[in-house]
Amino acid sequence: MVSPVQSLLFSLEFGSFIAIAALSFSVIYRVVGMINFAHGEWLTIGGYLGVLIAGQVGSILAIPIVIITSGLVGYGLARTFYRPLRRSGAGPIMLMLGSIAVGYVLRGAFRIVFSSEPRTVILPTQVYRFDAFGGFFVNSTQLLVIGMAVLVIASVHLMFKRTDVGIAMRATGSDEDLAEVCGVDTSSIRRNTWLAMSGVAGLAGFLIAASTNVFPLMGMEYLLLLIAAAILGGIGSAYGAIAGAYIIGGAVTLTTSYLPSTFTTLGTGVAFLILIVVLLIRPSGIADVEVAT
Amino acid sequence: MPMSRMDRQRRNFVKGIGAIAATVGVAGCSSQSDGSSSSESSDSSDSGPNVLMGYGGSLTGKWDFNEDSMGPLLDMTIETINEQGGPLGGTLEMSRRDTAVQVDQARQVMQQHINQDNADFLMGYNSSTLVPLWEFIQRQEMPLITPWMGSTFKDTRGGDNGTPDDMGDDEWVWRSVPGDGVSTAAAAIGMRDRGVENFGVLNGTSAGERAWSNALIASTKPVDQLNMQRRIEVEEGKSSYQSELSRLFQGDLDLWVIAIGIQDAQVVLREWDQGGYGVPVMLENILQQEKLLENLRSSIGTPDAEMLMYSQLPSGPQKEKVREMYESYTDQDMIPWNYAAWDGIHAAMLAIERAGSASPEAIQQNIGPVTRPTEDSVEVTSFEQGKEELEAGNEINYQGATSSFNFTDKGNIATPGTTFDVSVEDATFTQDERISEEDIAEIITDPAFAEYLANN
Repeated sequence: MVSPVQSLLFSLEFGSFIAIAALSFSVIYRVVGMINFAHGEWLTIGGYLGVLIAGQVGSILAIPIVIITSGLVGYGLARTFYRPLRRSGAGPIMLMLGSIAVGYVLRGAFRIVFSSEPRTVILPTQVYRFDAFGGFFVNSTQLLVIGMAVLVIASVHLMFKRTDVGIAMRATGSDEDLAEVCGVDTSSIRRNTWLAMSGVAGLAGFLIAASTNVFPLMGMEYLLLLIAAAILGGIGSAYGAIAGAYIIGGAVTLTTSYLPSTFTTLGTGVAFLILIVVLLIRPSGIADVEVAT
Repeated sequence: MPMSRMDRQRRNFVKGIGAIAATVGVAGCSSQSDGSSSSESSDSSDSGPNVLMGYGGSLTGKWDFNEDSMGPLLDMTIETINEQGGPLGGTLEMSRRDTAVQVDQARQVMQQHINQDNADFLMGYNSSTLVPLWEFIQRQEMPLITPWMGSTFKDTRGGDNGTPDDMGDDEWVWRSVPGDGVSTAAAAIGMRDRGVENFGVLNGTSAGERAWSNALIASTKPVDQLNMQRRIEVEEGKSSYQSELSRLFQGDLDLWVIAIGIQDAQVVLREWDQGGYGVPVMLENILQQEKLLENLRSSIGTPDAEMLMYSQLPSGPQKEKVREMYESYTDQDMIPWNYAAWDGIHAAMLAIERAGSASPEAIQQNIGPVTRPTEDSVEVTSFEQGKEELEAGNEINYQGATSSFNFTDKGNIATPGTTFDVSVEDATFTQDERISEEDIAEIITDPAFAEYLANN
């Protein structure tokens, strides 16, 4: 049997990818008020930027550069595609459909620019082995992924609780008109949200490209999982999305590790089963969105 | 009425989006397919018919990397055929469409080729689409030559049942690549010779990967020494396969086998190396991609344990000629399926020459006769040579790049097998020992092989 500590580590790693991605998706939904179905492509952008930048400056130094450039690219895309739609009076449904179209366009563009060949961010990996708890190992990439998730979660928490921008984001997310009346420049808050959360999504893409690889459809493969995590946690809640991501990560990993081998392919299915059960019991998700961040 | 500023902005935005989408969409198609319908751009000849080949391939989707190699081969073959006089003095053209390895889309592509493009024969497709669409294809009564389909499902289906004149019993699908049984039987023999006793299998869930894995396990059944200890099927597209690997290596394995798409294979193999399991791995033969090794070299350097591959051995008389032509034609890697496509197209063209017609029925009825040896048939190794012999009134036996290319009654071909040394450091697959057709036949004609496949 696979050691429980080993399974826990795998769950944490898998959950961390989804947590970072779902967090950015959820905050954008909360503040900007749109479901960005092209969010997976925001991850792919981070992955490709990671490949390009890590090749020039090394993988560790590439991380902050990827976050910044992904933020700028993500914001640029939102400004190019979504702002005109919003200004032309498109409602949430139209914006959502628009984002599906943007996703298609971006995937086509990735294929043209980068071809279909999978690419990897080269990250030197050290493996550490332990005999305790039935024997387990952890490698430096896994530690980086988990560590970056902790850092992102802590940073977002501090931003929401301790900074004016974060508080203004929460206010805008709760009631945009009221926030505006109170003097919040909601337009600049939306811009800051796109910048920050596109950067976070880019980081998730970078980590996926470092752990696995990046290819034109990569983001789309993660989209359902990150949306599921966001819904499970209570869509719009940053903390709920994080909780949802780790529950999904755990469900997928533990299903693979411990259920009979016939069920090893059902990991994602089990995660969605949990989603259905949670929503039946608590339709607003794990966190109550009305009171959540 | 003058437009407001907002209206103009909106209109400009919509126009802009439309232009970008159209540009990206068109470029997306053309970059993968070199023109989804090359029939529009080809030079037509006044002296003969334009023959259209409808090619359905995974231009997008998880096997799209293979099409990067296949595309130039198709273009090169078409150019070669046309330079050598073309079918019946006309021009061979291609309409290349994307199946995305999706069954519904593949069915749609076939219908478009048959009903809209008026294709004369079909080409391409793989096990993941052909197995589910088998009955549908039979109803189309259109010859289809596949250079991709390895599945043992095809072993007992397809071809003309040895009666070219009677189309009542035809099954329309011809496979120009050896079946999975060749590579998996070669693998079983190789594993036996290495002294392997316990092995494990990790495979993806698509029809092609399951079929190959089943064929591998079936090939080990006639070999008493080999015991499959554990088989793990995995979801594709995951970010980590560590749980699956940990589970697989709970057993005491001498060797493990991986059968999954290249994107996932890259992840699995990296995690296998990082996990330090130390058990040699055997790759499914569709992973014979130098790009895979180059990426592994970048990420893990030299793996701790050995990597192996067993595959069919393209060994036809045209093999070297085709390889050299391809290497001077493109920078893409030559893959074994390219030889199969070259042969498949040549067989169809020679069938047209023999029939004096490019109708689907004529092609179907003549593929067998131009590829099967008879007492008085003349062996030919090019379209031009075949055309001359047929014009002179002789029967021909096409000799291919993959093999001597003699289609069986069920429209299959055979080749020897081979072992490959896999070097991540050099990113090369180096051909090693040859495994004869007789040894392979011994495995795949064993009742235990058929029994396992029948039950799985």
